[in-house]
Amino acid sequence: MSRPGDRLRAIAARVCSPRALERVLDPAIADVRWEHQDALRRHRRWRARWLRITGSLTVLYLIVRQASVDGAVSHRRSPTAPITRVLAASAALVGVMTALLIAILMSNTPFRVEQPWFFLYLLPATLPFTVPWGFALAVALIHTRWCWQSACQTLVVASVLSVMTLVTVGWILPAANQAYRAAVFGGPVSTGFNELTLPEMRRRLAEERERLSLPFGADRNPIDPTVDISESEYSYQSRLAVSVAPLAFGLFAFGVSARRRALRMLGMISMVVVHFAWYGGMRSPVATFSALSPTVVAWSPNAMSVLAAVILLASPSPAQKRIHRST
Amino acid sequence: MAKRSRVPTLSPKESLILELLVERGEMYGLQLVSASRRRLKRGTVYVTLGRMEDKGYISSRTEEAPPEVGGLPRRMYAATPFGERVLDAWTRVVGHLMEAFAK
Repeated sequence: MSRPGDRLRAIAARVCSPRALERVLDPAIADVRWEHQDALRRHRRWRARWLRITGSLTVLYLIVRQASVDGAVSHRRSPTAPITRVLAASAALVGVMTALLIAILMSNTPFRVEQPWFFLYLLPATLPFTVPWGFALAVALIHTRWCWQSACQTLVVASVLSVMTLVTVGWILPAANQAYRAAVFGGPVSTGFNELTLPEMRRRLAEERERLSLPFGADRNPIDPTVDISESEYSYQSRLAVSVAPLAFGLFAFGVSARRRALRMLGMISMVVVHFAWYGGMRSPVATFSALSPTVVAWSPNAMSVLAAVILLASPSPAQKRIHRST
Repeated sequence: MAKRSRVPTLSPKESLILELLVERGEMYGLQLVSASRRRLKRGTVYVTLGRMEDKGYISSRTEEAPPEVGGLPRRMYAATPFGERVLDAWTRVVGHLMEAFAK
């Protein structure tokens, strides 16, 4: 049987700095092992198991904490931090933000559900938000100088995350939503539009257009207000837009990363607020921007992020101008 | 420009750790957690101890581990004379403040 903290120490050695390993993680793991061994020697098996569980949770918390701190410190010390630091910090940030968001959602659920793994149904709904936020925040914190290598690495990772998000929102989220509804109502529930997969949504929209005699691309009849599929069109388009968010936000974060700390923080906070208000708010933005096409409304946060990234990348920061002058 | 001298400060957790170390002598992280009666948490005690070591309030030594523990040495912490002086001064300052605000 492995000793407590064996695997966690191997993970810590990869994602944390040697100093954090020596000063924080090794003492924590050593204490857990000593107490665990002491409990086994006294034949207190349940105490030993309890120490293993609580000790592992403590070490896991410390790894996440130290990886985030090291990521923030390395951004100050090494201007071209390797992508592994970005990935470690992203994983830590996504983990913490997902846990927080699920806790908030669970505390606001007005229903009592007896299933212990109920929170897993909420995971596919929270990850499409927390993945782009965590990744973009990590990029903005760790990269401080633009170079082709870091730009290419950021693009590759962002593309992979976008594909993963597309699979999540396109196929896993509808199934999880349906399971959540069934768990809340305590029995089978008819499938709503938001519980359809992406191809099913597209098919349903085409059928609706045909039934209401709407031309291709049109979502409402200006003469007859009852003929309106803009909300459904927005749901479909916003799922596609959310999948591209890691790429758009990663690009924006890369653009803002070489700027002053205050500007970086302001940019990232604004991005998170706009993203959540747009896709996670109780009120659909289609109702507010009724004059615009739902496709334009759904894609506007991504479009704004890419536009801001292009402006930032095209205009070098004062620090970069100094570097160019000195070389 | 001359370097500014920093006034040593103690957070409530640092103060508690120093009190325990001065009172009971050398201790390890989890021992401090159980001695504090849940006022210190497992997740924060090691970070606080590392920070206090950087500030010079405490020192640490490693205790060699038996083979069944996996070779990881246990870190034992003790208050330094500087830490003891800071705690003493801090306790007096807090006492004065309490008196002043109680009036």
